[in-house]
Amino acid sequence: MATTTTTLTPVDGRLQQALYDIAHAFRRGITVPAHLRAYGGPWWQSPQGLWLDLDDALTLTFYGTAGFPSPVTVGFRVIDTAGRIVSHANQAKFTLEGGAHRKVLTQFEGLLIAHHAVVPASAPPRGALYVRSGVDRNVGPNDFFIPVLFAGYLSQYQTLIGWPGSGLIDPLEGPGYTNTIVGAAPAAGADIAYSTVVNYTYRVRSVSATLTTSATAGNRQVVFVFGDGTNNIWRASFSPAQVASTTRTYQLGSRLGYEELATVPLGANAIITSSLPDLVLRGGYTFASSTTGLLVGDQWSTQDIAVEQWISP
Amino acid sequence: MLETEVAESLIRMGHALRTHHPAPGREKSFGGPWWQNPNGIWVDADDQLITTLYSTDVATGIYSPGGLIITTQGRKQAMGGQTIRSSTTGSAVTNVEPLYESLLVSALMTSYSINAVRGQSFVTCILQRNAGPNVQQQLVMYADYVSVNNPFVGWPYGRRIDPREGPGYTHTVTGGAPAAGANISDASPANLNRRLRTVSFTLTTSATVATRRVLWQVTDGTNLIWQASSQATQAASLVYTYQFGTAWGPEEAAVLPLGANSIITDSIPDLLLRPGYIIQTAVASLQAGDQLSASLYSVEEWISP
Repeated sequence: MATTTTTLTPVDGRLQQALYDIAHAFRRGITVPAHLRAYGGPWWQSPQGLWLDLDDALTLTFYGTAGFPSPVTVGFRVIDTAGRIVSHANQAKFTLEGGAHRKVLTQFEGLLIAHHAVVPASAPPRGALYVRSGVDRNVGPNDFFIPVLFAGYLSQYQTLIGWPGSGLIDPLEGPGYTNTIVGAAPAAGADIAYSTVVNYTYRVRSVSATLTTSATAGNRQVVFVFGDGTNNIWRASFSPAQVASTTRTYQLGSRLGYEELATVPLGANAIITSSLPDLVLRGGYTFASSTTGLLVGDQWSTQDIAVEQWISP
Repeated sequence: MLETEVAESLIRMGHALRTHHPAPGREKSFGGPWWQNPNGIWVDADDQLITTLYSTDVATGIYSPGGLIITTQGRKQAMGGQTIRSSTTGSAVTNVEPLYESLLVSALMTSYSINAVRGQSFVTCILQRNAGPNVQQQLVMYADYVSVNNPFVGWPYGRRIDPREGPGYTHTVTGGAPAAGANISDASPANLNRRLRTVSFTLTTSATVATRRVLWQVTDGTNLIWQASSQATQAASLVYTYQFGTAWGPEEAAVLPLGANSIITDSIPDLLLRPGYIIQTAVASLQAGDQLSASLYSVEEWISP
């Protein structure tokens, strides 16, 4: 995305610099070295924070999504025992893609006043990168974890999450990542058998797959089955049988409302459509075909499954 | 523009000068009782507020970030006064407000738009520490939509939400008009997410004898995620309107009268379109003289990649 800014590029550099220097000279505290300042607030403003000592650690857990490599920067800010504000802006930088990653930032004695994780504007869409951070007290044998400081998604429009302020958002809260999952084509003569990825939750919008039958005579009768890994939770039976040497696309639409009892032409082929309830699939759930009369030379295609997905077990 | 550069620098200079020479009426001493300390965040000279606007309200949308500080002398002082606006639909426009040693007690974005409804103008404000080599983005002050009905968002007491949370901007989008004999192909624009509510278009067939059948498709740019093939066909010299409704329910197998013309209606799933998704037709036996109209899409829209 193109980003513009109202901080303008100088046309006349000398004049711009001179004016800026004048303004700069009036600012207070500018002589203090850049990232280390004595806490100089007035008597009526005590800093608020969380006191940490040497056996505490900030512990962050990131959950990413394959296909979205995202550079992440984490940091924190403390007032140390000498009253100095110390910024650790780039305490850890790494690129995350898929799976869970844990980062532990060791602490020192001081008042934690801010803690954050940042991604660039090229970050993935909401629903694809989730982070949770908390304080691990007494790292070692007497370890215990105090409540989480922040938890939520990082995305192109929420490039910063931190404490205080950002709050605790469950990964299933709010909108997810709109995505198309492409299930692998099974071998010839085999039915579709797709399992959802562990640690993700999906709301199904539509499903489509194409069956091309061989020249061997026979009626093929298609049923799409959704399961939780053990039990079947929804079955969609397509009533017209498919004969030899034909290509037919089967599709399901969420809350579509109707069920076709006959095939409809689709170019040189045919399509048959049915409705699907508002299904939510957790990780390890299954989508499969169960084709009665399926023959060795018959071929199921890849499956296009339009979903809204969240990072959640 | 040099004039703009000079003005910008003078604003910065005046901004700094106000610390030491408060303009009458613009500042007040902090005079609360001893038991009421002001709440805020202590900031200093290398900190700044970065406000970013993402808006589809390009024509009339004028937005002004601002805030309030208590200086080290205990004076309340207003910040801001600049205005920003989007020049390109949904793209980011950023305003940087340098700070100096003080207690930041509020940050605010005001919408002066006379048109923007929710879903059109999303604003975020971040407190950035240590502007320079050791820069640290510390805190999201607020992130929310502003609109005619909700023209102020700010910190404290404001919200930090994702732009796709809550209701979006409901409006009608007109797709591109295809040439005679060509199919519809409308790509979803950058920076916007859309939930389709209804779709309609008209096919006017030429006198050339042929049996046309409308196939309407949605792709994510690569994969086909929905297609609807009309059960009824359309012969020569006819005008049919095709319409699709989200979760409407039925699928009409036959055409119905629509004045002197005809209409065919179908249901579609609750589809979300991200940038780059494509709505297209692939009309079987479309003739050179046939004319598809531009599509009308009733959508709910959010700022989002």
